[in-house]
Amino acid sequence: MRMTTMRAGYPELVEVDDDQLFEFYPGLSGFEDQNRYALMDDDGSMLQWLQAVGAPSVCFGVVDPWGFLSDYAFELPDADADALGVKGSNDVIVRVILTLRSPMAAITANLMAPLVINPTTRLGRQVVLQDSDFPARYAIFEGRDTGDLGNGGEQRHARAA
Amino acid sequence: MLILTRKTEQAIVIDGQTIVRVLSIEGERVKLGIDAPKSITVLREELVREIAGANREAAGVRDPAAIDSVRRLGKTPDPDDVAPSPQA
Repeated sequence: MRMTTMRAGYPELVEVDDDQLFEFYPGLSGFEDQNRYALMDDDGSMLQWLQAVGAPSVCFGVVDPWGFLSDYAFELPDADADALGVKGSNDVIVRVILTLRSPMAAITANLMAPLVINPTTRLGRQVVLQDSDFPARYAIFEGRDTGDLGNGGEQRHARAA
Repeated sequence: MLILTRKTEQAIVIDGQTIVRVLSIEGERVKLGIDAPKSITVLREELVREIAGANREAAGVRDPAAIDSVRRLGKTPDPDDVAPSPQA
């Protein structure tokens, strides 16, 4: 399917496969009228784009939270698990929305409301972790030496070993 | 909008399944007990507003320099690609 994205700030026509399409019910807070999204890769980096189908300007930069925060963990609330059709330990995709501001220290991730996607049912939800201490605006480069950029996880593990 | 008055221990029933009961009233604070099916998500409104605000902000800004910073996360660094020192 062909669709238009504004991920780079200007309209771009892209081709997406059916296996990149997901339905979000209810829609993300603030964007309740958008229910259909495409999850698109970005040049092999960990960054991905969640693009609303039919609304080119509704586009979110998203990442796998474990790419920068290895101790991130939460329990999927029953209501969300039911709605997504998640049974037991079957795989879900978890992504967090980034606010892509400059400078680097202003880049935040919404850890309080992760996106949980069931690739089997093709359903997604923004899950609100009401009782967690995870912030909606977590500075992902906080405390990170800028020279350390890019070797994140692996080097931290190497040091710990 | 439906507006009604309830006393302590009185409740309303929504759609036959969700019961919202006034447990106690102390000054400006009202304690509610909510008994809802597992499939119903109950959230504090200010939290939903906060998430909506964060979502709108995220959809509204995609700074090229920030995108580049995130692209380099988790990638093997190029030795020629030296990150600039932070300005004092």
